[in-house]
Amino acid sequence: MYNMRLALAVVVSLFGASVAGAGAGSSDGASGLPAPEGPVILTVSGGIGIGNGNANDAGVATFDRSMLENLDWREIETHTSFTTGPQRFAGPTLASLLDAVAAEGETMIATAINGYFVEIPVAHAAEHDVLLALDMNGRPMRVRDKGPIWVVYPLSEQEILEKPFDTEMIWQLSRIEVQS
Amino acid sequence: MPKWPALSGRLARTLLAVVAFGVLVTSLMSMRAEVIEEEKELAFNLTGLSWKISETIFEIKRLELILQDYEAGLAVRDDLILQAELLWSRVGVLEGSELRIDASILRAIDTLSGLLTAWEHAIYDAPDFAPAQAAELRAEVAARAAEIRSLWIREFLVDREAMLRAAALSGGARYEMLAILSVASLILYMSVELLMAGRAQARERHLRTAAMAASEAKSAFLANVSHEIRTPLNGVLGMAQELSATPLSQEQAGLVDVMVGAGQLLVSTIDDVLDISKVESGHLELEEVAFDPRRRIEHCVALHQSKAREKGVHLSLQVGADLPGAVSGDPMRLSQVLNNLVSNALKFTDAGGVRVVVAAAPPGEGGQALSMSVSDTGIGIAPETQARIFEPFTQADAGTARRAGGTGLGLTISRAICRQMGGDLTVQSRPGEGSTFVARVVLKAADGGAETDILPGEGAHDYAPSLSVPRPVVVAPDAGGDGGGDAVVNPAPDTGAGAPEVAVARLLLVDDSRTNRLVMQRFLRGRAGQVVEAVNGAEAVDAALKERFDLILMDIQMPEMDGIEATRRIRAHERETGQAATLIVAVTANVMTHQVKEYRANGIDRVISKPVRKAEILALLSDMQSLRAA
Repeated sequence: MYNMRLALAVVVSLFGASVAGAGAGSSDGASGLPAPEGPVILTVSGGIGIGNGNANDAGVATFDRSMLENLDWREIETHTSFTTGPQRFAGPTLASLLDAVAAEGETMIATAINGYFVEIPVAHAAEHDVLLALDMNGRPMRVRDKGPIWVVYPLSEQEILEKPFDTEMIWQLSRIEVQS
Repeated sequence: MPKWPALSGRLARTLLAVVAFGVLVTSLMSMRAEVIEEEKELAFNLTGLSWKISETIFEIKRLELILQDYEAGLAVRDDLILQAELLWSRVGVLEGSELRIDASILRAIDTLSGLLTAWEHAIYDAPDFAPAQAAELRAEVAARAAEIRSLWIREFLVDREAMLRAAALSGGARYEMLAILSVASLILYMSVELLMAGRAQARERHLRTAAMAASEAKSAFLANVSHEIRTPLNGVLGMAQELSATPLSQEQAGLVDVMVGAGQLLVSTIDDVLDISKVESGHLELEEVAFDPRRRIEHCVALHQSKAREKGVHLSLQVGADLPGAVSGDPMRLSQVLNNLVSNALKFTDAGGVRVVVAAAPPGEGGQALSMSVSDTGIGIAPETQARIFEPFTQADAGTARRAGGTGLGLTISRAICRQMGGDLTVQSRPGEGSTFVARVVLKAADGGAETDILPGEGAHDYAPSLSVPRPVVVAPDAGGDGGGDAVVNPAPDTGAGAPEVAVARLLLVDDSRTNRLVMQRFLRGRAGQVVEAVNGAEAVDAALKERFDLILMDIQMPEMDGIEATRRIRAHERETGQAATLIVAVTANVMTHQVKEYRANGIDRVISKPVRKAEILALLSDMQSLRAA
């Protein structure tokens, strides 16, 4: 396989720089989320009640890694049909993210860096303990490793045979739009 | 239990067939599921791979675009690195894929991965990435994209289609084979069943044929034995009758009567045994002649009057007024039934009476039904034995046989006759109060009213009544006995003046039995002029060709040449020489309907049954006389 020389920090910083122009600006509204200090790796928009900006402009919430680390961070071991054997994933739960932005809606459109997108029911977040995985087996995932965020549905070895959520398990996630 | 192995064999075959069929159907179904699963997997593989390849090519093309922008100064190094990362992830996905990927494509992916590795330092770490380098890299990744795409096109359009077809075909072929197996096993099972059924049938047919042959042999044996017994018996009875016609002392007459009685009982026993063998083998044949039932019945009952008087029992007859004047059927067999019932009734009745009631039912489609009921005031029959009395050789109890005599076959034969005539014979009785037997028969309505049968021609049964008639030594004129049958006729030599007219000038007597010839000679004495004897058919033909006879009495069953063949030759000779036909009368014990037909077809004019009764011979001679007189 390819070499592992590249450290995550490099990737993330480069990636962050590339999207910096599209950032939500440097608003510091008391009611909103704090503005991200590091590179933005996730942007949430649509039917949300809380953004980074002031109360009048709650349309967009952007996250860097440390903001995501402050959410309901979990470490799980699970199987996926894209990997072999049990894998350890770590990251905030999708539910905690949706709480943080006060999302209101039935579904959300999750979009990857390259524009690939998929529709995920909002209810899945609570029903299936969906994780926004940032680390795999103790290491932050690079883009080439399906990072920076991989939507993971915890499943047993038997459950993956049915491939129930293969479509929803989008990797290289960069944007979520909640549809109200 | 001999049926058990055949049954178990059949059961085993059926079970085997059911199990085999079940296995075949199950495998057909599982194969179908398997084929569907295979097709699903193939489709999944194809679509999955299509997606992954197209995404890879898409990422390569994006990299090309970004490199182009970089050359033009429109994109920065980070853009390049991110796109390289994305392409790396596609390579990783393809390399780690669980899908089946063609080796040529895998090699192309490897080449791409090697290219990225080779350029990795330049893209990620080198302090500088010159636009010229970007152009070089762009050309190389473009070549990789073209290669992967062309491989994929071929793979997708050609190889994959072929694979699908092959999968479908292999599934289809296996399916076909299973279907053929199912049909073949079904055919095999059916063939085996048919074979077994055929074998069983053949075995059954063989057994049936064997049984029938055995039955035929028994019948033939009985017929032969009865013939062999009848012939000497004929002699004994004939001679005894002749003896009784000579002047005898009272004591001698008594002895002769016993002799005749015993002989006649023997004859009737033989007749019964022969009848029962016919009944059992299904060979009981019925005549089809027109007769007057009333006359026939009255005659029958009259025969028993003397016996009734002897026992002091009243015998009455009541015939319905609506009885038709003529019916068609077998009068002899009808009389046999009535005789049997009346003689039984008289046997078992010591006081009181026997009442015969005959009634006709309205003529229906089946013919004219006739019911003859015979009631007595005799000992009666217990309910539990009422069914048994119709079985052969059965009488109400062992003691009865001794008391009443008889063979115990009469009721069996009578019931069989009634049933063959479309009716039945039933009994109602109470011990001590008497019995009522009801014989019901169905006869055909006769077109003409003519009575064609001759009453005395009833065979051996007619001996019985004459027995009980006290035998007077009378000088009788030459006449056939009327009603009583064998009235004693004094032979001519004893009477002198009343010598009978010679009825036949030249007579040929053909019989292989010396006794029979002797009896016949006695009967003919004084009534035939010249009697020539022949001991078989050949001798008879010789004699008939040598001289003309007025009458030929022809036995049928003879050694060397039988009577039928002899008659045929005589008739042939007559035709050749243009002579007038001689009257040929068969004298035989074989007088079944079909036999008589055969005799007539071969040129025999009349048939007289054995044992020969004098009355019949006399009637024949008188017929010839009146014919000549006319």
